[in-house]
Amino acid sequence: MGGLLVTLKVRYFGQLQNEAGCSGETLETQATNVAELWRELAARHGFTLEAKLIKAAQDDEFCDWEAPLASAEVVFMPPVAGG
Amino acid sequence: MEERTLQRLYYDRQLRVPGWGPHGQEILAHSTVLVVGVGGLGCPVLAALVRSGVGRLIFCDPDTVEASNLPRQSLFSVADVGLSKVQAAALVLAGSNPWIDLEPVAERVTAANVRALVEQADLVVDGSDNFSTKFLLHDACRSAGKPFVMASLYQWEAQVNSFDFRRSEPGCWRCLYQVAPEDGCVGVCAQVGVVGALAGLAGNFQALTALRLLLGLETATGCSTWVVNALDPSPRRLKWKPDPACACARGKGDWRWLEALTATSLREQAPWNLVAPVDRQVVIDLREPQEILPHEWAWFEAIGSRVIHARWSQWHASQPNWDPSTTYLLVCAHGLRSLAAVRTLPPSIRGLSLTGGIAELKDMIEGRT
Ligand SMILES: [Zn+2]
Repeated sequence: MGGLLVTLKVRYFGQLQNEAGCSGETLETQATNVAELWRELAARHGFTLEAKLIKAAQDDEFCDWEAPLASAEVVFMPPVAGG
Repeated sequence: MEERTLQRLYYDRQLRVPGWGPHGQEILAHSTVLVVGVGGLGCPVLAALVRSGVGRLIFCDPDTVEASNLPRQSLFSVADVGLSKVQAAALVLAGSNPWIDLEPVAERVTAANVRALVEQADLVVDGSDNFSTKFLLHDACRSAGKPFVMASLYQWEAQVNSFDFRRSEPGCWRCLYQVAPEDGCVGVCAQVGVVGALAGLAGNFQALTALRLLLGLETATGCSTWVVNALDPSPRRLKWKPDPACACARGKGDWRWLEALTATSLREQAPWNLVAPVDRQVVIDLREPQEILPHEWAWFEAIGSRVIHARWSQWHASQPNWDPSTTYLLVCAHGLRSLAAVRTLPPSIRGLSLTGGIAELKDMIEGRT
């Protein structure tokens, strides 16, 4: 942590939406990469899914956890299996 | 009316559609599609493909119709409760288009039969409800070079993926998920719930994708997932790049993974007749209270097993006091949660998952299989 304060949108899918109590939010963060942002949000919302299950996307493309925060919106999506 | 006239009139409106026409109808008539799972997704997929005139449909599901299926599984009626899903579906589908071949298969798709099923098809549609089946089908389609259309549901949300493994370029689901998530890790429909109308949306989305792929009209390239949340219904298309380290980069046609898988999955899953009756066996029922019928525990008690209740939704927070001298048989509705739970047991504890769950056991006890 310790980067500049940036404003970005976060979008949640699946179980994350239930746990966050919303489909998305706009927030200010000092996180510099996706993993830091995830840890911050997981602590705030008490996410119970392990990070290794979640996929993150920026600009509608899945990215690494170490990817720098470079887009205006970050999507977090767990896999689902119902049929 | 003469049968030939009737058949021409049947397809009239779609024959007029650009990109479809008599040529497209002919392609469909000579196509075979495998649909795995006749549930919330499989029902609308089958209904659409049958009426589109796909010449041969093979559809697999080992389950019987349950009352809780009816709000989303549109091929079944209240009178079908307790009947084989594939048999009930075949009756309805035969009435909606008598000019195609229907092949109901009342079996679970496993490592043992997946290759034979997939190799018969020109395209495979996944309507299963668990990660192991989805990954098994995906990997088999990749090895066989067949297009694959997959979807999954969660409450108000659907994810749809398609892969055209006829094409030579790399890119697959394993590029995104190297390892399949464990079954039960994000809940199953019986626990988290699902909205019926969403299943119709996702199933028809799959059917349209399948038709595009069969008719050669697919324009989307590269790997992507469509995500739709009906509470906020603007669909999103999330893309990913092929992973150069993934097996898909080394070409197709390799089935060695399947032999390895057959060996491991047999060890983890216990057929009921190998486990019961066993002295000092404790049955752990992982279902939610509303899923459990009182007489079901009596089946286990009758062979001398003690039953304890430890619901899967609270499994990580509270587990039974383990006794290393006991054998534990973990059970749930269909064997998905129990298989996931077996994988979390301490190494010193002997635990087995009841394959097919209470549903299959019930069929055996009541003499249906
Ligand atoms: Zn791949």
